[in-house]
Amino acid sequence: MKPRQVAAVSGLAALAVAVGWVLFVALPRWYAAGSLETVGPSTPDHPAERRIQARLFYVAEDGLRLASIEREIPYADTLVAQARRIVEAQLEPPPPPLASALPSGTRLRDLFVDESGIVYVNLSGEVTSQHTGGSLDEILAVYALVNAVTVNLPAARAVQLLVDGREVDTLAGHVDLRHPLRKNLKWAGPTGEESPSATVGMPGG
Amino acid sequence: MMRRLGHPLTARRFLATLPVLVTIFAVSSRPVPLSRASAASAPPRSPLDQPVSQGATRPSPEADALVVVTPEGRRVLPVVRVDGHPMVALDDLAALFRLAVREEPLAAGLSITYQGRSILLGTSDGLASAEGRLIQLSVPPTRQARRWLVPVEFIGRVLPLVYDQPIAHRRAAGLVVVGNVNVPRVTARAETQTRLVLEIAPPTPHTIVQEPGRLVLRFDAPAVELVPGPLSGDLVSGLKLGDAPGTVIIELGPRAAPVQTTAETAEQRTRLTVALSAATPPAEPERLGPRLPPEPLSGVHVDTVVLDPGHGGEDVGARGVGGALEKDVTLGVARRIKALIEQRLGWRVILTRTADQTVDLDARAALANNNKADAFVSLHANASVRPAVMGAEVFYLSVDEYGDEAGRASAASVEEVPTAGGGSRRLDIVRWEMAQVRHLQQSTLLAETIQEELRKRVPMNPRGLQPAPFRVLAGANMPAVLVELGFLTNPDDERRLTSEEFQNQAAQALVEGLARFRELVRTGRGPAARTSSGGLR
Repeated sequence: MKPRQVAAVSGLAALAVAVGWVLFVALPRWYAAGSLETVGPSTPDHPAERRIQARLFYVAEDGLRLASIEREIPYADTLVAQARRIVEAQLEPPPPPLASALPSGTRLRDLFVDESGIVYVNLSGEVTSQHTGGSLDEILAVYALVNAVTVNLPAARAVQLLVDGREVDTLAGHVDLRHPLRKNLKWAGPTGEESPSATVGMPGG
Repeated sequence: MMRRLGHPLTARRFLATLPVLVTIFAVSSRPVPLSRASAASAPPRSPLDQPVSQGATRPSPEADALVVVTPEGRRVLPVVRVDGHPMVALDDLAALFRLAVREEPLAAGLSITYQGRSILLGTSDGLASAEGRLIQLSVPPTRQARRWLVPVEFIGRVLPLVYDQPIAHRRAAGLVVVGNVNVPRVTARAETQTRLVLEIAPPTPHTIVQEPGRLVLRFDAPAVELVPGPLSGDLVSGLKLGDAPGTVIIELGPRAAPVQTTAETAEQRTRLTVALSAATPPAEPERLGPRLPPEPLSGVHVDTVVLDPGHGGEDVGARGVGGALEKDVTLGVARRIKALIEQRLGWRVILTRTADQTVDLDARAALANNNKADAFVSLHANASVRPAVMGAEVFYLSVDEYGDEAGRASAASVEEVPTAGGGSRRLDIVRWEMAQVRHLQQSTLLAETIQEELRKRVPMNPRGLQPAPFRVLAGANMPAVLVELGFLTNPDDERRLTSEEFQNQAAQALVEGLARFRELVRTGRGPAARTSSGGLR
């Protein structure tokens, strides 16, 4: 083979490799990155993000019960991820005149679900240390979380609250947290325009 | 070269498309059912098309039955346990109570009709509406093998709303009593080592047959509800329902000599005393158990009340806007109540703490249990994020939150344990943490009397009387209530709570409430010591 031929073949080979790389590596990579961006877990302000309506629970104006409202929260693919989104949204401050039943500063540390549908919600210590200490607020705090999870996720059978990763007897000395708690709308009275107990859980209702 | 590179490149390309495939699959399979949001993202489907079970709900082979007693006779209603919940087939109920059942896909529920009156039972949320009332069942109906199953509590809580005869679900006895059928409740307890007292309410004709090793009580009734209390020593080895309807069998221990029975009827109940004899009655400590009414034959009974000043020590409880601390208010009121009771009623009063000290929640109920208190009152002051919330409230334990644990606890298992000298004896076992379930009716009565007395003297919260899942009440093996005296986060309430005048008024109300409660129980106008239905609406 003459040197010119060698150069030509090498050039062709190099070109082929370059074209191949572009076709089979660079383009798919670019394409995959683009796809991931639109469907993967994304920031709340991303325009293409899928959102769902979730019913969240807050202290009503009269302070005696929970009022519920529907808020948009990010959609998630799995039960665990969706439960996490719901609890995170529940911990956000509500629009006035509603007030959060959970002490400010309370964060979701972790969340997991066992095979029997019990959702373990692990909260940061503020839920105890910043609590008003009243039994009424304690009931409302506990059931805001329990109802937010169980009302929006029918697959969530009950909620076990944990504080800083540990099982606790109570948050502030009253409400028994030694067992997973089921949905209980007794503390969620009518909101004025509608009764949550009459609409919750009725698909399409 | 291309050819050699072809394989890895194709694989890589395939891998690169994987996230897309996975995402498409995840979106279309919709693994997370979202109650309301799903309607927008997926075509609405009938709730009746839903799979038989949601989440981990799965039928278990474990099954038992309820006995339904009607004026026509006895029927057995099979009970299936689904994921621990006792359920009955709606078909069986329909046949038994002549109900018409229809699935209502549009209303997402089941329509159950009796003589023109309807119940709508939500299939996804277990919310029943009937005659203008909404009742939340602990679990929704479940479809199993083309039959709808509804929780057993449906019978006692929802069906009576539309049925033309009274229906009583006596949970502890596994009985459903329909119409005006007399099913006497027989409460047994050892009064002394040698004396067994059976209280029969309402009074019912009966015969007593003495057989070797046992006594057979045959009641003129289609069924009997037996409430076994603590038994004494080894003279009585067991107490159970006989195989024949309406019979109770008292099994006598090997050392029990012939017995004598006496009966006296008063106040809507018959008191049947069974006197046993033994050469040397063994000295055995009395077991935990209900102790009502007081024991007139074993010496003078002194009523005992345990008062529980909430919080204490490091646990300050709620904090007032002006700085008042819950732990101080509760101790102040508890001391006043103690002084008043000792002065006026002469009862024994024990405080769970007498100073500013930390006391564990379990230790509070344990103190009451160990002192065999007749009543337990936990004192608290409340707090709210809304400063306008004010007024006193009285709570008794709510058991809805405990689900089936409460049912099991109220059914108090009787277990046989071996004894030192061979043989066995039966013990009434109640799980410590759910001891309160057996006293719920009396606790409700106590909460009511205290609430009524408070209302006469101090400002009340709009929610003056309610059930709540309070930890300190769950373990109390006697009537128990929790009183929230007012809201420290309300400036007016805080001023009152720290004033001598208010504390005296509140103490007065609690003493009157306790005295009235004891009087009602003593005269038999209150509920029996152990209740059949742990469930409270």
